[in-house]
Amino acid sequence: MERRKFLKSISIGGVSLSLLQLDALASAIGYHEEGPYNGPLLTSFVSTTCGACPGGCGMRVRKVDNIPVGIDGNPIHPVSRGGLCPVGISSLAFLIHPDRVKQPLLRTGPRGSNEFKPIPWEEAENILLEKLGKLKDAGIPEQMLFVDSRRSGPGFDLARKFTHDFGSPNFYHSENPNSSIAANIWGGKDIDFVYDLENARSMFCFGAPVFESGINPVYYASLRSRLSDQPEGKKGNFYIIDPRLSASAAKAERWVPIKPNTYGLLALGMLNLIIKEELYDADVVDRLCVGFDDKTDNRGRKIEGFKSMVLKTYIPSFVAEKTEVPVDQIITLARLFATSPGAIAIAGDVATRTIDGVHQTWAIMALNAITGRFNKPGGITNFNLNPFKTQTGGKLNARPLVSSNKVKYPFLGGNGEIESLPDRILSNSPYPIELMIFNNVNPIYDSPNSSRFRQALQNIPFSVAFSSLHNETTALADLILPDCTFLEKNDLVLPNSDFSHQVVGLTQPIVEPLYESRQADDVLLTIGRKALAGNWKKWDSYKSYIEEKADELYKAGTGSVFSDQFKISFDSLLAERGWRRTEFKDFSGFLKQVKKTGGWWDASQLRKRQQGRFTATIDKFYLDSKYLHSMFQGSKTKLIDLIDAAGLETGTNTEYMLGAYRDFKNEDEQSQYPLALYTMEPTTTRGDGGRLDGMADMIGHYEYIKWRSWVELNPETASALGLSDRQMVWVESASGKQKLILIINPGLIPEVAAIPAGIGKQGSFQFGENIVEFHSGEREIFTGMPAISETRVKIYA
Amino acid sequence: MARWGMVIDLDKCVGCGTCMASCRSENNIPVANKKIALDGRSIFWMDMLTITEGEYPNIKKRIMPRPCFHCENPPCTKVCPVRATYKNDEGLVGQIYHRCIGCRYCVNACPYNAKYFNWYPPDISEEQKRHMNPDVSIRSKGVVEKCSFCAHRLIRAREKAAAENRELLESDFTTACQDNCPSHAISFGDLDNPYSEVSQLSHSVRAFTLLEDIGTKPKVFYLTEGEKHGRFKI
Amino acid sequence: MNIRKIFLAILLVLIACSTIIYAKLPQPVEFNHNIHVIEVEMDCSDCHRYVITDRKATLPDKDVCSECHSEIIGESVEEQKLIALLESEREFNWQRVYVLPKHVYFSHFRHVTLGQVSCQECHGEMKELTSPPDKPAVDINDMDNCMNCHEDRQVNNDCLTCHT
Repeated sequence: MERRKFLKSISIGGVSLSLLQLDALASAIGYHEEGPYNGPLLTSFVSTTCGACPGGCGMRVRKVDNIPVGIDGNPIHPVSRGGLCPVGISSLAFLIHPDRVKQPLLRTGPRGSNEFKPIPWEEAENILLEKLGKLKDAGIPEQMLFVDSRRSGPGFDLARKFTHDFGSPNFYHSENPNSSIAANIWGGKDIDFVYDLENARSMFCFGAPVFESGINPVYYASLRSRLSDQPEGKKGNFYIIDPRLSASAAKAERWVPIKPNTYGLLALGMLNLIIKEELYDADVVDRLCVGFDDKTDNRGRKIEGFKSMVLKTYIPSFVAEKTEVPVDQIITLARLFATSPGAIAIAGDVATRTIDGVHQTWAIMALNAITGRFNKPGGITNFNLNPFKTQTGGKLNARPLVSSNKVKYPFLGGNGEIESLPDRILSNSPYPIELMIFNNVNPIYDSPNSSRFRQALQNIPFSVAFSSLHNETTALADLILPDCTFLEKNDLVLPNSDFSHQVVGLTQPIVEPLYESRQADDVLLTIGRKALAGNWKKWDSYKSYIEEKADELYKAGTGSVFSDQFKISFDSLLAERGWRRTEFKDFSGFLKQVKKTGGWWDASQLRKRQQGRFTATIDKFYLDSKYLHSMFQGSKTKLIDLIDAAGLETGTNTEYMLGAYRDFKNEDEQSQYPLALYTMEPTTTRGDGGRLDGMADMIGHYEYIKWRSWVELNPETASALGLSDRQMVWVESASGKQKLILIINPGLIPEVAAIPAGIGKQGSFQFGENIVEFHSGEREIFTGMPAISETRVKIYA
Repeated sequence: MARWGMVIDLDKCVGCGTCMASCRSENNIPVANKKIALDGRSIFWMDMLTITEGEYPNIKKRIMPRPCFHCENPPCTKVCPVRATYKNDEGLVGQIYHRCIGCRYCVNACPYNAKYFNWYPPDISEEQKRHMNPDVSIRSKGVVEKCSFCAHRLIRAREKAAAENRELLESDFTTACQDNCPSHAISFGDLDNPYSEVSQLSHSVRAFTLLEDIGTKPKVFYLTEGEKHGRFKI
Repeated sequence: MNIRKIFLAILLVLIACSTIIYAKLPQPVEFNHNIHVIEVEMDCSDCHRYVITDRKATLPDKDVCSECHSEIIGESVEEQKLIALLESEREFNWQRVYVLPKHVYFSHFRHVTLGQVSCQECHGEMKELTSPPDKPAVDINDMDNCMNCHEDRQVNNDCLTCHT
């Protein structure tokens, strides 16, 4: 057949065919194919708690024929009130993330080579049991080390109990300890302080862009909405005191640009004016504050009080010079703060990640104390947010690997402890570590000390990582155990937010665990049943454990399940008169209701606090450093040495070391690295948001940047450096350098470079660079928390 | 007949981007991969406009969510040669994907850049497809798409109201962005009902629409921020 | 090479295509609507469970069939096939005759319950059939069929009513 005729015949055939049955052809090639839904498309909703970050917002998952298809906020959740953040909304993507660990994996190649072989769960459990058994038999259980990602709640308690019952004191968890340690110092004892934000009106957020990078931005957003709904004159105000005009600062009533890491100084400067103009609450100061006025001691020596110290040292012109907030602004801020009803100063989480983080938090708290915000509606009060009984267990013989140490970090805690681990592991002191268990933590990415961590992991005989996604840490582990994502878990969660009432959110599985994943808590229970003494046989699964915890709530007889606003007011009204409305007859009814609504909370404090009646109050605020000094009694090192070594200036009087401000003594470093590095934390990078392709498309959306990191500079600074917008530049610190795209941002104070955090995570959707690589290891002088805000960089083309 | 409209309170909005993300998952908008995103062709039915005014330190930044405005007098429908985009009786500006021939006239006609052309076939894995919203179709390459005011929810709301043998209430029909906004900045409802929240808010002194002078008459109103928002001066 | 050969080629192509398209749909069981509807007097919704209440009518799954056919109740060969299938591990894989285009939102509930449209209008006289149909009675890929009906009944035929 000739070619032309052949083509002709084909085309004629084609045309006639298309005329005959175009639609049928279309369906034959799948044009009209239907989705995967062969069922009746029955819609159902499941209430659960978001686990994308520790914030604990409530979510409702929409399922169609039992397949989750969408996530909405839970409108009756007291913290999030129907809202969610972009990461929470997109968290179905974690379920089907291409980087999920699908089965237990045992390392076969050398560490870091990423060579693993899949093994069955039984084998994985046996390996873990064998390793634990060996340590137990040798009588060295303390050589097991457990690092957990949570900071509270039943799951956290169980993991801690696991480590303790095994006989190891080495249980560590990630948390920024600075504000709680500061509270211990100003309170003179353990204080669980909360901000009563439900009744507050004006938030002065020091170094806290609260709508994007606070501990729970969704809660602050809902607060903002409620404050805006108030009638004129009662509307709330947000004052964001931060170096960068972030989305939060742009959306707040006022933005006060400030030099990074000088928030505490500004608070003391405001205090100077408040004291000078006698705007403080003299009555409260008398009752609450210790060491405000001058006094004479037993020996007749005159001791200068906090008042004199502040009046002498923190004069506005001095503070203005250090903070770069003009004097008239400091005056206005101070007057506004002291006179507006319901004003409260909030210390941000990122802001306190400096070498003097405790000092800064303390100073901001002192502002609240002296203006009389303690034990007042909309102020600060003492309240335990954990409704569960927690037992820390008996004392163990062995000393923990890292502990507070008067020479260096007298109040080591949270991430500070984790930060100290690699050095101890590598130096085998006081004892070597044989087995390390990571529960969903990724120190190789998070820690500024990651190279040391990497070394430590190379040297540890055996390490186990529970994780739902492959990450930098699992790549070095010997055994990777596939954990469920929070959408497949059973749990009770205490939201980590600034919400000041007891809330317990229920996490229930939306789908059966995918692949071969198992909930880490369930694995711990299985191991515990087989290998540990104690009452581990009591629970046959983690679900029964949390049901027991829920029973604890039920038996306590306080609080109620989540309900709408009307029922909440009604309930608290009843509670005042000693009555209680129940929608359930017994525990199973309670559990059913909790599952339906998504959790339990105690609203009894709502009305009480509104009327100024507080169940537990704070009775002391130590303005002097007596408590601190007492910590150092009998030790060779002095508090002053610690402060001096960090380059902090103590003002005039050693009594008031917490009033210290930082002064750059190391001018060498300052001239070499002239720019302070400011860490941006957009909402889209919360939790593992930086690992979702959806967020990669949104991080930097406001700057018109996609799928990459960037660095921001003030136009003035940029032109002084001879740099122009959207140019590739080198950013270099003492410990690393990266090539980034430069964005000129007129809303950033001069002499500061801003870089987003939380991106550059290893995986299928990897993009951008890890900001932590710039950090050279400074730590908070009391808690050992990595002082990432302390980094300095230089930028050149 | 209702006339659906939206009011976005910029005083309440905190610029978190939840509306963008929730819209994307509700309406099966495929997430742009790296190449598409870097080409500047990622699709956000609900986008965020950022405008920075002034110089440091007297600077003001505005961040405003931007859905399709469903104009009363839409420029996009007038240029469509095939009536793939049109305004219906309830004021919704519809986009019928299988009618669209991909000429992109409407994309150019829209003064608010609310319309997006699908330059690439949807990049959706089988697993992702399982978790897509079955109420909304997945657009193919070569068609234009835009915010629909969650019109599929209106169908469902109607069905629900009819099943309960009652009139459609305003509260039955909500959009995904409105439902998930953590600061409840978005309200949605019938502009013709004088007692509805949206119609009252749209008559507020704070209300404005974008590019008022070109006469498109958007049905999405913004409530302006307080005068001192984000300002340095106290 | 002559004209006859070309014709032959076209014919072959056409026959091949039509066999692909009009091949009898391979159903797991030669279901007899006639017996179920006329003799046993069952309703459509007895097997197509969700036709009255939900969007999709659904084809019966194993649970539905085994409610009656847990043991043999008739004499047909097909029933024996069904019971063998019910006892086996395999799922039914009914071949759909009515395949809804992806871009259409269609709800049985809206049509059957709210609109009082009888099943016959789209599906024809299913009760007459003794074996499963091979092609739809009304071509739902042809929008004219939808539009005519909507116009006749004077119901909303706005695009957004069905296309989402």
